[in-house]
Amino acid sequence: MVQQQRVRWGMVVDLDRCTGCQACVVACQTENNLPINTEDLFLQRRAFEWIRVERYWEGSEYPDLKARFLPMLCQHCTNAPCEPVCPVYATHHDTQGLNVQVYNRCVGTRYCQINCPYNARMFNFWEARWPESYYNYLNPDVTVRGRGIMEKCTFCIQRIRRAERKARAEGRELRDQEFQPACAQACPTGALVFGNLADPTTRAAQLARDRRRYRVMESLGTDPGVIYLKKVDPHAEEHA
Amino acid sequence: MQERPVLSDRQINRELLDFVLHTPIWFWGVLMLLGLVFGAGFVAVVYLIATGVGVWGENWPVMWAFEITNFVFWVGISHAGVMISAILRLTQAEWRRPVTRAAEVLTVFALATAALHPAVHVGRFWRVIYWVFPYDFFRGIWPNVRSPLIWDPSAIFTYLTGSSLFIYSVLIPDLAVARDRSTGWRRTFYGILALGWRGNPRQWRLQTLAGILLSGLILPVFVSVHSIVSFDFAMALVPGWHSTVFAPYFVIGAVWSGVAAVATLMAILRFMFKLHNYIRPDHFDALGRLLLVVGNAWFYFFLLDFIFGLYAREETEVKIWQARIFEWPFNALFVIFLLTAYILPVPLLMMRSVRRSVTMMFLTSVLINIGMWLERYILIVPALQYKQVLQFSWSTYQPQLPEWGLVIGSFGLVALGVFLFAKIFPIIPIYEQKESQVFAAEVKVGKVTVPGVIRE
Amino acid sequence: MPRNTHRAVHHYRPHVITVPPAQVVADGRRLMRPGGAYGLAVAFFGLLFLLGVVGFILRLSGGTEHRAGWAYFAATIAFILSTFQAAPVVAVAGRLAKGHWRRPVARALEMCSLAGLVSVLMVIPAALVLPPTFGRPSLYFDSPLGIPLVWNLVILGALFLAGLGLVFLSARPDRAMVEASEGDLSGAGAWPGTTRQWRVLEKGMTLLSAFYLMAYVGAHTVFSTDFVMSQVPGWHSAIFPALHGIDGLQAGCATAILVMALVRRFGRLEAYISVDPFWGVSKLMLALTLLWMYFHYAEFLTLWYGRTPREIAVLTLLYGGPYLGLFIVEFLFVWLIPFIMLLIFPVRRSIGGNVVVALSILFGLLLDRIRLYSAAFSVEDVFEHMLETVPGPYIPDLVDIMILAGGISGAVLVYLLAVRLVPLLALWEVRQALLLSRAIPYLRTEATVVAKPE
Repeated sequence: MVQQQRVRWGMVVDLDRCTGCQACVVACQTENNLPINTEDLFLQRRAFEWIRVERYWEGSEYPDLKARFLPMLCQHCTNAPCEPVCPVYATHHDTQGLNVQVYNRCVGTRYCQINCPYNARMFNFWEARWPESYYNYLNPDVTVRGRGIMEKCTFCIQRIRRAERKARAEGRELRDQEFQPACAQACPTGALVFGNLADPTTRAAQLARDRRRYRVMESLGTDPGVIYLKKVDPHAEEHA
Repeated sequence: MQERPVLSDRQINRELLDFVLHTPIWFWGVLMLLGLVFGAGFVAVVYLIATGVGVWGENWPVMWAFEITNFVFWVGISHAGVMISAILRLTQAEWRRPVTRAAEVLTVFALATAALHPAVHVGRFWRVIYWVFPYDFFRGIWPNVRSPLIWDPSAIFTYLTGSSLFIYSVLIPDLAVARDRSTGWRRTFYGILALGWRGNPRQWRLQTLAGILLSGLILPVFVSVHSIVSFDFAMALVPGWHSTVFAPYFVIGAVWSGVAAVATLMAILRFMFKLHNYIRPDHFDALGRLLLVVGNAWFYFFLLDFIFGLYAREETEVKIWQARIFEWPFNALFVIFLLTAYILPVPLLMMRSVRRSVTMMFLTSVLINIGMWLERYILIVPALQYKQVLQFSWSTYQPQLPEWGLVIGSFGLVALGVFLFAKIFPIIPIYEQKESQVFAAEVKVGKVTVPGVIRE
Repeated sequence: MPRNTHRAVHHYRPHVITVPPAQVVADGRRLMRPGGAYGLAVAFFGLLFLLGVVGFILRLSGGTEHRAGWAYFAATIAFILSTFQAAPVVAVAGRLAKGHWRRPVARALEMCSLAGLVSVLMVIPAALVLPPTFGRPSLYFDSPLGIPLVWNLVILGALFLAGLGLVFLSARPDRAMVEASEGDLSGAGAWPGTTRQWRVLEKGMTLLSAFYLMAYVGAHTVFSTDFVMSQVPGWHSAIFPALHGIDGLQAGCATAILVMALVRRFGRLEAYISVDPFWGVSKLMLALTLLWMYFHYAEFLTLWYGRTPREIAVLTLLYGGPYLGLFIVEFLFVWLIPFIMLLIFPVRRSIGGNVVVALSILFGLLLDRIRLYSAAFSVEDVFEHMLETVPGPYIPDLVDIMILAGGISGAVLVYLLAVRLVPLLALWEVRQALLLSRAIPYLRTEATVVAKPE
């Protein structure tokens, strides 16, 4: 018997509100015990960014030159290409629409990253190290990954579980916007809205029905859980 | 015209067992040299496992590079054994006789070396057993059979088992010859392995039947192994990889590079062990003609991949082909690849004088393998560098020293394996040589006597 | 318990032709003057061919707008390309590999290539029905030189001409031999049979053989891409041209078996054609049957695993949707039955068993071509990016059946007419076999010796 999915966690990213400030990136890094990205790591193309702000330039010369920002994170696809290729089932889909990464199981073949069209997955090439004092700042709710393990955005599953436990203890349902992943919480313009897409009354589900909506690389049929809202072009008549 | 020397049984036994039973001084020199080459690889791998995959040049998103190129290369080389042994045995081609065992040995060691690569390239080498072994280890989770990375070890281990059984079962008569001509601990060693071979008609009948059956059974494995390795790429959504033609393209490429490797090996063996009576120019001629057919077939599949990769004119795939052909360093590599994998060898192989010259065949076959190694590299890395439309994530890749060490060490490992095998067991099948003497016949056609062969 | 090895064991050995050389020429002469059933066959296939022409005219009068109606026309060309024009590959491969078993059957198989005349003629209207190639993926990449009619004519013409060359080049010594034996020495001036002429002949045959192989591969690549794959939006499959060719080779082996059996029976060539050629081609047929599965599976698995809407639409059209029933029947006849039967050794080394397998494969291949071409020709909009709606199955009408039967009959008719011009037995090759294969006494039994002059 097929049940209507009661919970499908998803996110709406409003590109009209995103300023490219990267507060989401920093917040995610702190919340999820990501290693600190030094300049060396960026130059080696091994920087850890579970959410990254992609920057594209439009136009050629000032003042026509514009920066366009695309926050890109794990899309938690229903038809995730990363899931069938993992030889040890370290990545799989749970009943709440999340694409789950099991660190303990991961062997590090890196096939999931190769198959991810959004390049959303990161690999621990080295053992993670922080400055001595920083160890006190690590989030106790999140595993620290050793080397050789793949990792990616989890929609701050620790916060989801904590909120669920709290709601269960208080004998009530989860309320919309009761908790947020770190990126959505840190976003100063409210460009990132997290919520249960299966419940039409949540703010995320309402925004997901906006007529500006689209999904990245939709033609691949991955059915992502992250919906983007197109940036509004104030000079649309000129550009038409 | 063929020159077919008439050799007595005693001479065959003596010459082919010479290196097995007596150790010349240069053996130790070559052993040390090969050991050093392999040692370089060993050190590189130990460093990798101890420190982390970060010592390689791989980054995000180029997460597979040298090690997977090398893996596919060695699996490709391993296809030589079956091609030559099984197919030529089933078609009763006479010229297979000196080549079969060396080809099969090359298969086994190339395959074993290849199988090591996926094991060492993972982030957590000590957990690889969960990946490969088909058991749930009390955790209730079996390996994911939907993943091409599970099909890989299944295919490779099947092929390895089959090839090893094949080598062993056709080795038995020669082990008996070695047993009968040695003393002391050698005699005991060969005696146990020879399983009491007496050489009576019943045993020979069973032996021939076993050879034919194993040849037939290993043919499907031969086709499936490299197809399954190709599925690692074809199943991925990466543009430039997600092509339906990869299975036959890889298999025919494997045969191309593998048979060339056998030609290289035969030239080396002939030089090293002075086997001029057994490995003759007509063998290289026949190998060369086979190579010609395979090379052209390979080129057809390459053209299919190339033309139909661009056929859909999808932005991402066009970009990858542009990178492969026009961008540094791939532009230079692509030119070298085309030259060495097709444009130089094929016209050379069309010339009879080249095919009958051992030196030219050695050089041509080495060229082919250089080209095929580059082919795998060009296939894998540009597609990952420019994966999909999110250009912000595009990257480049530079190989690092431990990766070079791995590649060089793999050549050392295979060479060491084949060399040690040739020391312990006769590398040219003794009974096949004696059989060819028996099957040789002559046919008088008018005034000419033409060499012929008795057909079974 | 060791068996009694002193008893003479019946041990199979390869057949050696023991017909005296003069008798070979006499048989060649006899083959060029067939009677009885031959006349009936010509009349029958001629009639069917005329019906096919009528069907073609009827279809032409309906116009070229309704592309689906031309599916069977294209399927007939593909069928001829995969059977008649693939059978010579067996002979040609045998020649290039220097296998002796091909000698008695080489001419009969190479003559099958003459059916290429029918496919060359048929491809002209078929190519005119195709929608323009601008704006959709094709082999021509929007080039102004990319006219399917031209390139299909070129490659199919090359294939036909290569086959024509093979037949008539190798027939020169034969025709001279037959004419000389009838007392007509007028042609002997053109073929006195000098060493140099023989060398040129053999070299020419080798070159034409290699060229035939290349043209065969090229023909399948161009034809299948233009007429099938580029008409299905979103179908980008690099293996499909090779798949089409391999299916053709499998059916070519089947055609070869059928032709060899018919020629042996109706030409009374039992002394020349033993079970050896059948056994040899049967092993090839088994290998190609396995390869059928391999190529189809490679394509299917890649498309299925990708799971993108574009790929799923293609799989639905070709396999799981409107043609599912047809595919299941096709699979049964082109793979399951032949595979199981060919695994049985007595079937492989028999004539009757191989003929049954061959008929099964030919029927299955016919269904396969019908499926592919019906699917491709019934797509409404070939210019969209992917297949948005899967069209329903195309049901053939009487005209389609007439065209199908007529085309195949035309091919058979060309073959039958050629029988009168060229002896079905390659007389000079068989006489070479007489010199090069011998039966010799060997220990207590006999063995066959095969000379290897190269």
